[in-house]
Amino acid sequence: MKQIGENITLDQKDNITIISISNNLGYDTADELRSAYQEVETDDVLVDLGQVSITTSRGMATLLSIIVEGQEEARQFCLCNVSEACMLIIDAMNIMEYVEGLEIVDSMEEGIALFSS
Amino acid sequence: MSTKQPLAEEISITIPSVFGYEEVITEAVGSVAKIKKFPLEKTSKLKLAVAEACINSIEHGNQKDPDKKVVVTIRCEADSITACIQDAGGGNIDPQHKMPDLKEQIQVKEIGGWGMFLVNELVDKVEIDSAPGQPTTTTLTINQ
Repeated sequence: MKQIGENITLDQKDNITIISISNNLGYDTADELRSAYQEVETDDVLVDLGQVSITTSRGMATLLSIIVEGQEEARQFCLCNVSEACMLIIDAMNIMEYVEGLEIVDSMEEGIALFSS
Repeated sequence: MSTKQPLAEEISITIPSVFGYEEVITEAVGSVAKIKKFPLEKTSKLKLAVAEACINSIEHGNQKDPDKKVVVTIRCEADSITACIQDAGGGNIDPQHKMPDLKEQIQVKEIGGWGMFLVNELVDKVEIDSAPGQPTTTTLTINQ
């Protein structure tokens, strides 16, 4: 497991990179998330938002930017443990309508199973 | 015989223009909403909207100058909570809150600028009082 900044960890299980955000997805964490993504080497990326009880539009915009860039490189993304705060932004911005192939599941185990199937 | 109206309950918090301090405000808003027994979904929406408004005040209103303060007043009425977020003045907060074109943003890979649109989506009423050189006050109201 690799720590990126104060709030992000990168872990790899099989061919899946798990990005875990351990704080609120505010300004500083958004920058760390961008840095963390530069180190992803796998095609499948699972983003664990379980610790993100507070988010901002910038945080979610950064996450969306990474997903869009990654998909152009044939990466697949899955979000898990998505908090109500994150879902409020995802719903308000209709993100699922514009980002094809993005999966949202309840738990990390479900995300890993999704990529493994 | 007149019916005595209950007084509004009000608290004020001042934060420096440093990212992260908006979370002090969202925690306070959450606590107030809990005291007033607001539904959880409404509370989450108000907290998110207040965070966005505070970030706008820190970034655009006060240009991230830590010596400039953001003053937030949370006011409880019988069936509503209002949060007034005021910057120090002299900044540039765009009062427009039109829906960003997310499809285009994705195409040109310039994703963001959702703040005021989100604020407008999340709460029942948004008022922005802004004049050149003067403090901008963003007032957000959510009804029970």
